[in-house]
Amino acid sequence: MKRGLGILAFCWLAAWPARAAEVSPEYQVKAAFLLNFTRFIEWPRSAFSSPNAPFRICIAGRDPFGGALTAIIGGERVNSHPLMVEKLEGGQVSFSHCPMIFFPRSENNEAALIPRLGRGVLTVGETEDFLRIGGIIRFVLENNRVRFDVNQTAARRAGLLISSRLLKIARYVESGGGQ
Amino acid sequence: MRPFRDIPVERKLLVTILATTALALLLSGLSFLVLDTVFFRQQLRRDLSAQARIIAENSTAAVAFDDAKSAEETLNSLRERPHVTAACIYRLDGSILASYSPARQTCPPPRTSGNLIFLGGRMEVFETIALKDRPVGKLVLVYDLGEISERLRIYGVLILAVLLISGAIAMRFSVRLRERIVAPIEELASYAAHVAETRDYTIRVREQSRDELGVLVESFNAMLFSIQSRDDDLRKALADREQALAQAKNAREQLEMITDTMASAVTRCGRDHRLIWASRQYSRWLNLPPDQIVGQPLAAVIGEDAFAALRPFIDRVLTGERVEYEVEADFKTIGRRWVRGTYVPTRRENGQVDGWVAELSDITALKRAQADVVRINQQLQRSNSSLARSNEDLERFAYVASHDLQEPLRMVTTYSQLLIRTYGGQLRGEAAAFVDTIVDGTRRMQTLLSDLLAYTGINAESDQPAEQVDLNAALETAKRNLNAAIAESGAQVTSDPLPCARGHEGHFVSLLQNLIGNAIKYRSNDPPRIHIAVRRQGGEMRIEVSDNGIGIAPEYHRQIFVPFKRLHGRRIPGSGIGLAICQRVVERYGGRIWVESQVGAGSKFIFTLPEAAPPAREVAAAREGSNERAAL
Repeated sequence: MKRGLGILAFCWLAAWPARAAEVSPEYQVKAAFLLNFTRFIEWPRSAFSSPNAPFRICIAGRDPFGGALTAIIGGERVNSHPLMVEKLEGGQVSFSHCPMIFFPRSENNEAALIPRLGRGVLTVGETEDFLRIGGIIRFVLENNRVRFDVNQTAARRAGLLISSRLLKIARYVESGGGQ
Repeated sequence: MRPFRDIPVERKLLVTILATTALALLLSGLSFLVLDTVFFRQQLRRDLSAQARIIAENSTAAVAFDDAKSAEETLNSLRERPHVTAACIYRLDGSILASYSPARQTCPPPRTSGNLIFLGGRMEVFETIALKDRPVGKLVLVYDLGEISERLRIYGVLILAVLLISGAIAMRFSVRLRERIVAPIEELASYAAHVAETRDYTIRVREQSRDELGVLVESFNAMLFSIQSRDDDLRKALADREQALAQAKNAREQLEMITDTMASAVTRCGRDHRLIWASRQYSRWLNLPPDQIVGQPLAAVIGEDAFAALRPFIDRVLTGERVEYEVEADFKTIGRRWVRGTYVPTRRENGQVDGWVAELSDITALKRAQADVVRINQQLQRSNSSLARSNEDLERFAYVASHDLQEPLRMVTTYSQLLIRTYGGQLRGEAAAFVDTIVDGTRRMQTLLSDLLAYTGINAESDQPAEQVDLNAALETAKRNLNAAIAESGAQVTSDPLPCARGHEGHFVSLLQNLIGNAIKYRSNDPPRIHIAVRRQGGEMRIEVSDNGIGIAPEYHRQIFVPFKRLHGRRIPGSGIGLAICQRVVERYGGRIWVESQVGAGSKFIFTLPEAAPPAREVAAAREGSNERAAL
């Protein structure tokens, strides 16, 4: 597989011909990944206040997707919950309404936030020790391709049920005793 | 090649068994193959569809996250399916995310419609990879259908093998069948051929089983038996028929031989007056070929005139009467003929007259001859009576002449003797000799006249009644009359006892005297031995007078009985009428006289007389005499 991110990005651009030509291909892929994660993970019912409550993908800090994420999830649902993007800026500390939180690499705030998070929250980050500090999914770049590692222990602790299919394509899965 | 119906039963059975087996096998094999193929395809279709769905399902994550490696791993699970030759996962834009190609085969491009197609030797399965109903990619599987043909091949080999094995079994089975069915049939067939060839119906076929073949053999034997008996009957009938034919032929030939050699013609006619059969003589007589006679109406064959002449006899014979006739009729082919016919009716078994057999003689010549005979007889009688009249006149003249001449001759003799007695001494020598010659001449003339008188008198005295004459007495008288000659010659006259005969004694004396006198007169140098023998033969007496005289040459045996015929001139005295007198006497009494003699061997004069009833005394004597002779 020597295809570069450019082709992948093109692929998504072709699929969703949105504006956001200025967004880097890497984040366009990552935006798609975020959507795809919702397809392979089951959240506890307690994560939502009602069946019609929106599924918020919260970005903890500055938005690196430049609108690509919003474009991808536009009109999509997770079960009955409509997807939407929410930016957590400044010192906002309430995350309880976010089933998924993305921690951009630039913010470096995950170490402070994650331990305070309750059950039913999927944490996705980009930093090297994201899993070690309790994050659940970490994006990595490998040979110019976007891959991800999974911390199964953290996911279990958060009450999330990750599909084995997702685990299978993960680059690395941390599960308790370490693999 | 021969048509099926002409090949031997054995081959038929084998062919039938093999064909049935092969057909059954092929049909079942084929249907099995078809079913298998259909089922296999259906199953394959389901199987592959399921597989494709599983792979698609399993690869959703990999596709969703564009993970080629993971996608490849998923595809690699197809290694368990050896006939999947290629499999590819396409992204939505048509580019290949992952591929699996153990046979280095490229994947066909994804199709939009239809998720399963058969293409030549392969099947292509398309499956959309979807993530929560959103398509994210496509899966293509290529399945090599070589498996099917491989299965077909295996099935084919299997069927072939089973075919061969069942063929071999069928062969063995047919060998059994041969032993059980064909061999008996062949045996039967060979027997039948043998019988047909040799016509030997005494053969019987051995019965081997109790099934239909056994029944067949039994029927065959029964048939042979009946043929044999019929053949025998036929042979016998043929032989009988041949014999009958031969007999019939023989009888026919005999009939023809007989009728051919018969002077008379023979025909057979039916009630309808048609000729059924005619002898060759008949067709010769009528001068007609046999085919114009047999089967023809009698009236057509002999002509209406002749038929009308014969019709009364035909009507009579058809009433069952035997008819004999003589009739003159005008025949169509041969003219007027006298016919003597005998018609004999022929009858059927029931006695009804169904025709007649005719025996016919042409007596035309006979009738003419009869007429001639009558005419000639009349002529003859006429000339005979005139001849008899002149003969009588002559005899009477001779008798009267010889009787009346005796008186003047006696006067000449008397007066000549008187002349010698009275003037004997006065006559000179020469005159005395003359007178002696006269006396001698008159004496000879007297003898001649008396002989002539005797000769003519034999018939002249015919008006005197005949009497029973004892020939012994007649012989004695004759011997007494010849006394001087017998004494002079020293003759010995012996005789068997002689029988009696009817007639005048003088005639028989004259007969015997002439015969004995001749015997003495024509004696040889030896003294004469004369014997008179008697034989009875066929109702007549045969009296033989044998001597040992000079004998008579055969050429004179008839002449000597003619009057005045003398063999010896005047050398031996005699009138030359003696044997003529004998003949006359014998013939007058209905007998015959002849001589058996050779010169120098003596003579035997034989005369016959009709046998007269002799007095018993003489018969006994005659019998004794003949007995004595027999004893000698």
